[in-house]
Amino acid sequence: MTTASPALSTLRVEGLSVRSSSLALVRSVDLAAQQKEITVVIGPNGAGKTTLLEAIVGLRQASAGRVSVDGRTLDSFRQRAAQFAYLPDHSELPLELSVRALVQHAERLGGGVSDAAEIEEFLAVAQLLHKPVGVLSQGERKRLQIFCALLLRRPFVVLDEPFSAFDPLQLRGVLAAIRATADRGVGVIASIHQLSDAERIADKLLLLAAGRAVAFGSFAQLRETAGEADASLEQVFLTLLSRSSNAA
Amino acid sequence: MRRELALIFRSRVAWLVAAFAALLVGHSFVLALDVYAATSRSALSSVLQTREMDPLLGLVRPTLGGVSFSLALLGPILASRTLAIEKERNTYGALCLAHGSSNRVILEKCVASGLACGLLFVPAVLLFLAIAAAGAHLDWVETFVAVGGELLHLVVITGASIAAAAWSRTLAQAVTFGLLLSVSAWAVDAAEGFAALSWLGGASSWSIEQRLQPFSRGVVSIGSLLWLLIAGMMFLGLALVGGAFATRGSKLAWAAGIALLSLLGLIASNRARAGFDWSEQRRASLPPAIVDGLRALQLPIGLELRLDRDDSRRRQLETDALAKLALARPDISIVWPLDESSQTLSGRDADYGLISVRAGSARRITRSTSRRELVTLIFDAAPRPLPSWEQPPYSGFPFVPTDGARRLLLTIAYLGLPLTMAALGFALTRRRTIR
Repeated sequence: MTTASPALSTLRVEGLSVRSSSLALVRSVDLAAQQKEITVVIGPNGAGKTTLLEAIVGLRQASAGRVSVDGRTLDSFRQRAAQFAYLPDHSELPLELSVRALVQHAERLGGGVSDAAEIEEFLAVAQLLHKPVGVLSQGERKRLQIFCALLLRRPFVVLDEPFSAFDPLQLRGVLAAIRATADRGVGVIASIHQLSDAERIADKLLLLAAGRAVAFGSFAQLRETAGEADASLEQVFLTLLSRSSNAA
Repeated sequence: MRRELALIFRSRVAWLVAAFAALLVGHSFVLALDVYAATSRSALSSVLQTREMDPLLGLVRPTLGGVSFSLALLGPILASRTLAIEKERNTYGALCLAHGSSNRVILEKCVASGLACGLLFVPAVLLFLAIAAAGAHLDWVETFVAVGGELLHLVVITGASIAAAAWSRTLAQAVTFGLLLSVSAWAVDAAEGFAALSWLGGASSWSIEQRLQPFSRGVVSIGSLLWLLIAGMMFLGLALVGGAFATRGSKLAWAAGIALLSLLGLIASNRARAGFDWSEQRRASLPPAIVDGLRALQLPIGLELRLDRDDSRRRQLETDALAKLALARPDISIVWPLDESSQTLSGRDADYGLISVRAGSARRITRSTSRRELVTLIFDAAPRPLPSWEQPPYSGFPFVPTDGARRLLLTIAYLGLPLTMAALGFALTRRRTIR
């Protein structure tokens, strides 16, 4: 006998634009992300990756466009908060708290004691629990931040530059933790600067340049768009970017 | 809340501020104690002088003055930090998402900030207990009213600081805005004795200090209570709007609406003169028979006083005769015609200082600022016989501590409390960076 797996939610971003004064930061971006998928936003510096993620989760007001989950538009901040956990780039942990207090806080907000033993193991959080935040290394802090964001048990987790602080060994654990999170039914949307990391983890990629979506799809689809069947993501990235700037 | 409380009570700056404030409050207390003890020593030889020995005015009020000073200058640092630090650490947005609402985060921050500022009250309360243990008489009800007034001050400072943090991006900006708000309230009070700020005199009805005065006399003034609560709520409303994730235009529109509504509320509360005298032996009121007589007069009563804002007689009238008359007859009309006049001082010479007392349609004129004279003229104009001016005498409570008790109180004030705060801070924060 087989049991039907619960339907997976789909996040749709349609025509999302963000302006700051007269400057267009994000221009009519479309995106679709599903639970159990890892969607990675890539792009050069200043492409609007952070702005796009902030607008999706509701921390920044969009000047146009729609964000919906399973067809229901997320109008209010409360509705967005019910769908998204968010880890901002360049955020600091509170030095006043211990690691255990931070994890317990995230567990409480997530609705109970964590059942994320596997993720905890990948991120090696247990060995940090007895330490004060002030003594953690940069990588340990980032691991802890990612773990706390994942504990919130939202349908979608949005991570802004989550891999910026890791050595290759730690990175393996973090990538495994994020994959395990997606496998547990969470949709992960992350902006990633390092293309090699993006290539390793992404199910779908959104290439953003000057606030516009240049390409969106799986790595194979992006290769196809670029017309480079065996190219690395870096080569595809450069081809699509130069094509986009020529068109502009 | 646990997280918010940890942010406060495990931060070094909170305990540093608390230790410094303890020293300030302790110093205010010691100065008050020494003056009170010296006056008590000479008063012990005369019953009449003994009656002047009022612990509320001589000990409690100056000590709370230290609390008020700390609140105004150090409160914004403590109160704005809880929210501003989240913005500075770029964790505010994620925290609001995790909580499901920015309002909930702001409200929790408000409570935590209020508790943080509550640290500034701890030394004063402990010193009151210490001096009572040393044998001084403190009436706990009137002391509670005076402390309650400062707690309302805390509500305003906390609200203003959180609002400042909600509308700014960094801790430095938030503290600066918070201090500006708190210092502007001071500037209104300073306008009275400082020529350069005299143009602010017209704003005296917006002075926080003036709102707190009734409480420091053991009087619960409904107008002041409402004014301070509305001001606190206005700042809380502004904080909720400032912390929300909405368009700038809609935030500004909401903020303007809240400010306008609050302004109307503040103006309306200025008219509420009712109050309750909870001072020991009701000494903040006129004699009971006079109060009953004034209330029995079925006539509108009004006073028109031709005195400038910077006239010391006016200050004395406001804090004594007029305050007592307003307690007996909250509906009394008090008009200061010179406040609205653009006449120069020389143009006012002829009628300057005149006080016109009106009961119904009859008027009496005087230049005396004595409360007895003013009350007599009200009954004369009514016309009704003046009731008995008999008032049970306030016995007064001189206090001269023994040398040992004084030394102990000084040690508590200058060393015990500041060092306890510092030690608590050290104990609660030392594990932050120790492996």
